[in-house]
Amino acid sequence: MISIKNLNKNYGSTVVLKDMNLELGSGRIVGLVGPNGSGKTTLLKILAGLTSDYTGKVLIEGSEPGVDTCAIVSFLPEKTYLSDWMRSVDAIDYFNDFYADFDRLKANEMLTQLRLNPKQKIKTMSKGMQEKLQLTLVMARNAKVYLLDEPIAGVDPATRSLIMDALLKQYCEDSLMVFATHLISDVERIFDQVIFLGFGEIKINEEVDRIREKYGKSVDEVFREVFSCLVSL
Amino acid sequence: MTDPFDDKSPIYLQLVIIFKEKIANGTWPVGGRVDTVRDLAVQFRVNPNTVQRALAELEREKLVFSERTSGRFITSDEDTVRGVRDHLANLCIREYADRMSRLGYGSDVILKMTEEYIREKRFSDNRGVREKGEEKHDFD
Amino acid sequence: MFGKLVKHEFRATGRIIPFVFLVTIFMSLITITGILLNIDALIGVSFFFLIITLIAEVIVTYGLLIWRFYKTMCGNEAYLSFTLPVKPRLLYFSKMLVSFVWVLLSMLVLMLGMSLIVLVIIKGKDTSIAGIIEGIKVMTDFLGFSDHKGIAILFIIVVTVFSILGGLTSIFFAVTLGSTSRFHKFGIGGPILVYLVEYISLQMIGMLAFGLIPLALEVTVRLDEGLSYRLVSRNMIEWILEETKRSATGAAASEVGLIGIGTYIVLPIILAVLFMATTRIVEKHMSIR
Repeated sequence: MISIKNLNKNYGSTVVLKDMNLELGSGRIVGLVGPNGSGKTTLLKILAGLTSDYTGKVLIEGSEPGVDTCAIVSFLPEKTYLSDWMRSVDAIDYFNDFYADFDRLKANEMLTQLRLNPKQKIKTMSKGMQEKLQLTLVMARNAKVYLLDEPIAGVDPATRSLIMDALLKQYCEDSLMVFATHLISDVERIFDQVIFLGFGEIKINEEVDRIREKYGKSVDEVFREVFSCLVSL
Repeated sequence: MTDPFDDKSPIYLQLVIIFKEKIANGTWPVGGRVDTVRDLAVQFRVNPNTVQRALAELEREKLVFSERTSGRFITSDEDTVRGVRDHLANLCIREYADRMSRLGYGSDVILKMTEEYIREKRFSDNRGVREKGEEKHDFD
Repeated sequence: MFGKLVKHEFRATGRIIPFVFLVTIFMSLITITGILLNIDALIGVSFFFLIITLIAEVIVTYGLLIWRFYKTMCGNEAYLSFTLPVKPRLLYFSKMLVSFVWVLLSMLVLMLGMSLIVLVIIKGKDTSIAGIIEGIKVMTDFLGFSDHKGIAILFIIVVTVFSILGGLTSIFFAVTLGSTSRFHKFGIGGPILVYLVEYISLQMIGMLAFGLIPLALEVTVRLDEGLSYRLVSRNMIEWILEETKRSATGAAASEVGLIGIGTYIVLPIILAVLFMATTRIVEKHMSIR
């Protein structure tokens, strides 16, 4: 599904991704975890087709990120990317017009599930509500790849549970979901596989149950250990 | 719902035990249909492939079987279910006995203490059956 | 897909801009009422507000269009724009088209208001509307436009279209370039800085092209026959120097004038280059902050 070979990306003289190689298959939920500034967002932006000045080879279903991959990749950025004058229904219309794989029924179902009012303007929504709306739009697509950047960072624990339920309900079983987060303990059970990213490099790329078996610890604990070492170095 | 999992060990193995308990105590009745993978994943808030893996393990142990069109079902074989219950019971007892012996008790003492405990009715079975009017003291 | 982009662009911009026009038209109607009913107090007040709304109308239209362009091509909303399954240049083209339509409409509204202002000014003087029209006719006859009405009208249309497109091109270029990473340290000042530099450069290039490119319109003034035109290959500076020398000798002013038109060749080329540069920046996603 996703194939990355020798991917390098710099911002000026700062190296953000260093010679990365990665293959990700379909039907999986992959946790992309790492401290702030480890390159998670940059990697997702490259996969989403937003950043194009990288070196190396990135293929999604055989195509480089571009118009073709945008049609099958559903990206949830950290930012609010909807116009603030829109109501939920307007945003749904917009997505429905542009994405052939958008499922309006699914979107409405999710709005109800997440307790959002379709007529409310984005301007008057709280940050959490905006995040829920964006997640609705992103998950209502029957996409082949979902890229979620910190989808639960800005919400309270109750909403977090609601979102997790919605994610598990709406997730297409044969698609690939890459879920970037630094709140591992809340979500590690929904991962198949986890990738630890530190300073632009993959430190660990393993099945989560394998990690628990190998270390006798939760993924969160292993994460803390791996990165406390890195930070102290 | 209290958290049934411990993140320190593989979730799929814990799911196998949880599912077996449900079959053993009849929450999942003999011959009944098993919820879909997606439903179970949502119910337990775990990865669908993890549920799949646990169910595959149950299938391997002949506790559930798939019918191509209509989904998964619990075995109708009462003996198999009884076997699972006995197996789980054995696991509990072994763990209990191990812990007691780690505390330094010999077999005779363990037996005697257990017998006393049960006789004094401080023990309540998992259905919470007690004398009428008496309050439950369990916290779960 | 281009059609959908245009549709949603109109939907987003069409929430406010028409109301700006409506306010202007409303003020115009009040002024007209004042003129028709001959109420001087009403004319006085509405005249004042009409001038303000006319200025505001154009500024607000441009402002809204530029702000929308910035937000959806460079700001947070660019994250959505650039993940739509459409070629990025189509985003740019759709915004150019829709902005063009709005600016054109705002110009029409402006012209409507300006003609009203003219009416107010001549009111009470001994000029009538018929007199004005007669005046315009005499003027166009003298300028030699009356014989080539078709060409004159076409010329006005072409100039209007190109000046609107040119203006938008230079603004959108400044916004896009000013949002690329090398201008990030200036924040929102980046686009403004680029625009100032761009504007001054364009003015200077325009002036130089006006004076130095040996291509000019030679205008012969004959009071009885009006003006006649001829394309000549001379540059303005040379001509000005000659004229200065001539008038220094005390000779009578020549009846032949020269207007350099190099600017109108150079500027469109430069704007076309800026248009392509913007397309390129947009295609490479470099404007996203």
